[in-house]
Amino acid sequence: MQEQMEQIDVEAIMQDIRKKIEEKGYRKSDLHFADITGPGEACPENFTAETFSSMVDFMNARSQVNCDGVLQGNKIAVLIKKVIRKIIRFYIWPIVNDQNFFNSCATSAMTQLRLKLEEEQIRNEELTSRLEELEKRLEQMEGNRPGQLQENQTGQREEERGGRR
Amino acid sequence: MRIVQVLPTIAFGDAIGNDVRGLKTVLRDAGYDTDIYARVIGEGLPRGTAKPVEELRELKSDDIILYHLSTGDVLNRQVMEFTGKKVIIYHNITPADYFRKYNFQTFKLCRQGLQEAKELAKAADYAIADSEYHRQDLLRYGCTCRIDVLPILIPFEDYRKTPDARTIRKYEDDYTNILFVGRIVPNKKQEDIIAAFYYYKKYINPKSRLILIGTTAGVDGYWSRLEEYARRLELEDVIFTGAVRFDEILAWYRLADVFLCMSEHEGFCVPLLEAMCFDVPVIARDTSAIAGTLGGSGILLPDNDPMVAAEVIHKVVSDEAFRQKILKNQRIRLADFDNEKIRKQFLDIMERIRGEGINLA
Repeated sequence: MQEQMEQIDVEAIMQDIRKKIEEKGYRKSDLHFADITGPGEACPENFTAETFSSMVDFMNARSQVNCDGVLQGNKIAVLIKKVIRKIIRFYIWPIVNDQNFFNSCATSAMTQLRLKLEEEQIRNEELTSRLEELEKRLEQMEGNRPGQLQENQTGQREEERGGRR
Repeated sequence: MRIVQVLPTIAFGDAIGNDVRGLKTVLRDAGYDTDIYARVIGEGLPRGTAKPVEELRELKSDDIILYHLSTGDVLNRQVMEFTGKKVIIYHNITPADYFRKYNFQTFKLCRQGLQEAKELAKAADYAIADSEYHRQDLLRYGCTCRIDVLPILIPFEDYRKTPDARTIRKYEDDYTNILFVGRIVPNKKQEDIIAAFYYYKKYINPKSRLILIGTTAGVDGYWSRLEEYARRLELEDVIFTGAVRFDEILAWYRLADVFLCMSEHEGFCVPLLEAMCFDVPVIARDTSAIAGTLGGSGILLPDNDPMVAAEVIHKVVSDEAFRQKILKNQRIRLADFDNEKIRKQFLDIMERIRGEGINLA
């Protein structure tokens, strides 16, 4: 016969724990996970074209990682660092190359996106301008200002209602 | 008559991969002509584990195709065109919205996967769900064929292997070790585990350590946020292990005093059973499939209140009688996943499908 599980009164345990928490007076942390925004998180409400553009400029200027920079320190320290750098080169270079390839792709994609954004902005401006022009022409064709046109329509409806009575 | 297993990707070490390989062994041992076919075969698998799906040919109408469904993939629709009896083994598709902010490709795959799951559910000749939770999912998707629940095969013998001695030497001390094992992904809510650990360490036991074992699975932005969250809480002793060897995972389970799971969505959660295997008391939030997997054992939290979770950890660690009760219940539950039981159940299902034809509802 299979052994039976022991009953654990979780409800009672929770009640007891909640009471303990009240007695202990835990101070709730002001920091919530929702307050943490990460680099990979898309926040459409935070987008500005200027910030986006300046970030793309930054990416274009700094996309390639260089692991052969100038070494700092006295002569002996620099010599030791040079030797160490040479020894680990076989390991570091493939990683750096992979990173640089990724950076190039990411930068290229963002640059294309910026160009597309600029194109769309120009197109939007053209369409807005054309829309305004068409609205003006429509007003001229009707021979009325927009406000007067609405009053006329309201007056027409009232006449019709009066006629039906 | 052949019974073939087909799936989009077979990877080394993940729950589905282990299940598929386990079922292959069961079928081979029972004398069936069987093989595994996958679109993507991961590295690290023993030679001959699986063949490319392009090599799957000459299926006959009485052959059985066991299709493991767990993600969006072109294969999901292609499989319906294969000759033979189509049996869907459903392993869950994570709701897409968890990935929207972090990985649009994964978001699209999950969304696509859900749509395809609904189509497959309606078209399958038979279905197997690895939990009651998944069985309910299939019914919601419009599945009209027979659905049997068959737990995943867990390779318990692997857990008896030697743990990494170095990890044990380094961390075997008077600290309370709180462990969670699982990919670092938004549905597993590692931030709630960190929040619970914050209250536990700050108000109850400063000599404690939180170990989060798992890789990012393409959601690096979420990992960055978690690390930043722990840093801004000024929390020490939070260890993100990243990818670890299997013997290191074994070592962490040996070192763990408590397994804490605050996931908002889990399809099954094999690590809960792994923790039980190592006699680590499990505290888990009651969502999705978790209650089903625990089956009355462990301790279920009603919500993600971190203060409550912290106090429950304290009770489990400090109240020995309570701890032993939990462990006893966990051992009883673990017996339900005995591989012999599941093997027999699986072979019975295969016999049923073999003998009775399609539409077995």
